[in-house]
Amino acid sequence: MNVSRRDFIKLTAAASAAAAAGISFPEAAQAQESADVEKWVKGTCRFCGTGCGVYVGVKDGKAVAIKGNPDAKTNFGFLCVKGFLAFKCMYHPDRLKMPLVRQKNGKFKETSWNEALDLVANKFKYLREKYGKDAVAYYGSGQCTTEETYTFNKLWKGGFGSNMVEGNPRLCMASAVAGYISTFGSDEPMGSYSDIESSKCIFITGSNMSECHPVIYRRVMRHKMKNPDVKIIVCEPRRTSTAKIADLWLPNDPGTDLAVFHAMANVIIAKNLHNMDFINKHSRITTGKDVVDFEEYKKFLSQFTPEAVEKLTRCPADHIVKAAEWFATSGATLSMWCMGLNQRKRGMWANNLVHNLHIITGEMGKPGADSFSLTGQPNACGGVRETGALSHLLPGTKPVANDKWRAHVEKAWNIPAGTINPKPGFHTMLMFEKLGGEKDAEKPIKGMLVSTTNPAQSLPNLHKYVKGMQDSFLVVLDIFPTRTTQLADVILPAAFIYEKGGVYGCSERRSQLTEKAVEPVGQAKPDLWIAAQIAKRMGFEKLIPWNGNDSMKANEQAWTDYITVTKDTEHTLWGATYDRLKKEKAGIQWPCPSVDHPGTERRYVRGQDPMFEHPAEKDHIPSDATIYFYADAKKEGKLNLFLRPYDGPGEMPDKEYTFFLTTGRVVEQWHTGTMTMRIPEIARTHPNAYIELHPDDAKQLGITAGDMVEIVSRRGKSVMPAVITKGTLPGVAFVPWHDQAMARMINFVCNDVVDPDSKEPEYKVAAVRINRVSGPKDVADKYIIDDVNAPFA
Amino acid sequence: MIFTGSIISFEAGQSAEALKLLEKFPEIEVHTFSEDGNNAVVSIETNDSKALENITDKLKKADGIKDIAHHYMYFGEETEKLLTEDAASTELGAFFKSARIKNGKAL
Repeated sequence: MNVSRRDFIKLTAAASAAAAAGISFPEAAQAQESADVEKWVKGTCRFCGTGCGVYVGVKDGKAVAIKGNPDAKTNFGFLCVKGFLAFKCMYHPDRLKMPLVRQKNGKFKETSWNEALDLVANKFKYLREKYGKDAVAYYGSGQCTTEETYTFNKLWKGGFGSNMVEGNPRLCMASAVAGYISTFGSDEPMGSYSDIESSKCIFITGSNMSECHPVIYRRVMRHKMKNPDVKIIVCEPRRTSTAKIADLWLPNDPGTDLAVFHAMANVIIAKNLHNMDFINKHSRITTGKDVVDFEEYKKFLSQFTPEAVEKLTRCPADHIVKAAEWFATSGATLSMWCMGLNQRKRGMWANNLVHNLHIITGEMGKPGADSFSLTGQPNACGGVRETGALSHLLPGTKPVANDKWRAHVEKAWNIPAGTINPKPGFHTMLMFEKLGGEKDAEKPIKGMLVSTTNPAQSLPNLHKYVKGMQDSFLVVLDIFPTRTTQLADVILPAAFIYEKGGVYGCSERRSQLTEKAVEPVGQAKPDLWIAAQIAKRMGFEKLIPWNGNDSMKANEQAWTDYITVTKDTEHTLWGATYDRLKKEKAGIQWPCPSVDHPGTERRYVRGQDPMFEHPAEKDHIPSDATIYFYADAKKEGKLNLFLRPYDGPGEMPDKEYTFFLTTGRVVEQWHTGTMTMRIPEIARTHPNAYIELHPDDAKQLGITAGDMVEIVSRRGKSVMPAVITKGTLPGVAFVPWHDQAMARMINFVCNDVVDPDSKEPEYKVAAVRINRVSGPKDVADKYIIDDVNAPFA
Repeated sequence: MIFTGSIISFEAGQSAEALKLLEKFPEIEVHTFSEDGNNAVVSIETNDSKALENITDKLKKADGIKDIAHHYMYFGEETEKLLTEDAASTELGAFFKSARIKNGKAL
């Protein structure tokens, strides 16, 4: 390598880092943007829900560099290890490059796109004609782009007349959606990430953000370091790495935190730290059925004394009192949570009770104060939630059962009135339960298209659902072989985000456009193209006309269609045209009703939220209201402050199954590890799943570090090495879920009981029995599914 | 080769010691500092991402260093290797079919 070129690249890299950190760089004039990079293409990271802005460097049609986008309001130019190493997924030798169709001998054979798409379209037509319009389901992902999710949703609901549309956000975010809608009347948070830097107290619950949202955690950590008086409270069964920066840890048994939240509310009111003016002005106290007065709420809370709750949850009473005081008196309290609250049998209630704390203290509607749900996937919000790609929703996150909205969507889609079924389809767990072969009369769903997700590893109580996937006609769109492709009949090779472009909407209502940077590998195609080609072959070309080969043009057509349907809702992105999204360096936060509107950092506040002046809302908002919750279903502009009775997890430890099991992520790995386990430095760090046990439990069970341990629930078992740590409560075990090795796929053990409101399953709590099986064994095998013909075993 | 542009943050008052430590890494070039002296702008050049990972891990554990954050990564030669005959020589080499046949699932 020539020395001057090397120095030039180093100088460019350093200048870029300096700019991102706001440090003046004397050599900057010598560095140029183009050091060995022909062009920089704006995009978004495709891993967690933070929405980090990136630039992909391209030379000779290949990705050669990546840098954080210093103008991004999410990450300010910094990336975590997963984002930096995405290129190793793009150019990985395991990438699926040709359509594959399973033959009679059980093996896959490469075919042409025409052959594969004809097969899929003809089979879908046959199944729908023979078994009814709901016989074929779509199961999507919070990793598909908004355009892709919108298109599949439109094809199914507007074309097929079927609401058998679900996506994996049902497994991670449905409780947050239900929580926001039931409390606020509208999905997604009021505030933004920028509240982190304005907050004086941060209440983190059900989220190990240091591992799951490292860039947001970095913002929290830096805020704390700059402002040591800022209080950090972590409410978690595990003393996670996030808890290391906490001033106060509220440990509790998994699934019991509803009592902790009520106890905090009880303390706040008993100590007269509540904001009665805010409660009176902005909330209605309700049981869900009946409206009650404040005294009844106070009386209800009185049973949740810190001492009584300590007995129920193991959360120390004095910690509850301290947390309540800090929450109510900081002046700007921000709550953040994720799957620990959502993946629960009472996930919606848990969300409601965090919102309650903000309502009774008035800690919302001002900088640094908000009740903010973090998403786990890059486009769970923008894609599945906002386009309404769940079985009970339509675009704009509005119910299919809403006659007026259904009629509006039918008109916008130019389809006959009555096409969209008013009855919701099956939620995810029911959909997979009802999926099966043509010979099985008990299974009404006979075919399914799965895009960008891996249900054969990610569903809880997995044993129950594998046969249905195996027996049905299963079409899988993915970039790598997975446990789910092992059960498929047709595998369609998908393009990576930087090979196709598209919009992702992150946790803070921000939609950001990724431009196509390079061509897909092999014959991989964008999901949008695949959706449109299936639509064309099934006679829905007029409904989905964007079936051309120019992916960015097709993306723009789909996006424009979507923002037209939702133009006059509180989710409006009407001002976020594709041209504008291409130019905006940091994306746009909805509501954004016009091209000259900058986007909305805070909702429901006059002067900040454009809906106060929007014709759809303006008439019913009092002219003197500074804060007004216009999405309130009762049209009173109020929040619901809920009396939710205490309800524990679906199953508690007992004599046979003596431990709580909870599951989650580690920082390096993502979801089922199909991408991250293929990145060597990540795979090395966490090459296999393991079980974390408290030293007291390990001693009692005769288990030492590295011993092989069997974890048994009423549904299944796993075997993996033990890690002994004081980072968990005695009686509580933790397992990360990224491992694809059959013996260590923890979802065989997890509970599939669902929240009766959100229909989200309770991954976070299971009762298990734990036994030592043997001494240490080397299982650090970084297991991946590398052969599409390998059996599901 | 992998090149990064990175920010290394020092513990307050420990920048002199931390800089001495950085001198032990020939892969690291310090370009400039923040006004308070608590952050250094560096470039790091390594043979591959494994070496970068090792340096990052060592720095994160070192006394006087609070954090290291990468902002920019150039990996053009890695991409080229992955797409050419040299693929098997990369860290992803073991994923290639020929290596898999020989080595099973080992990376």
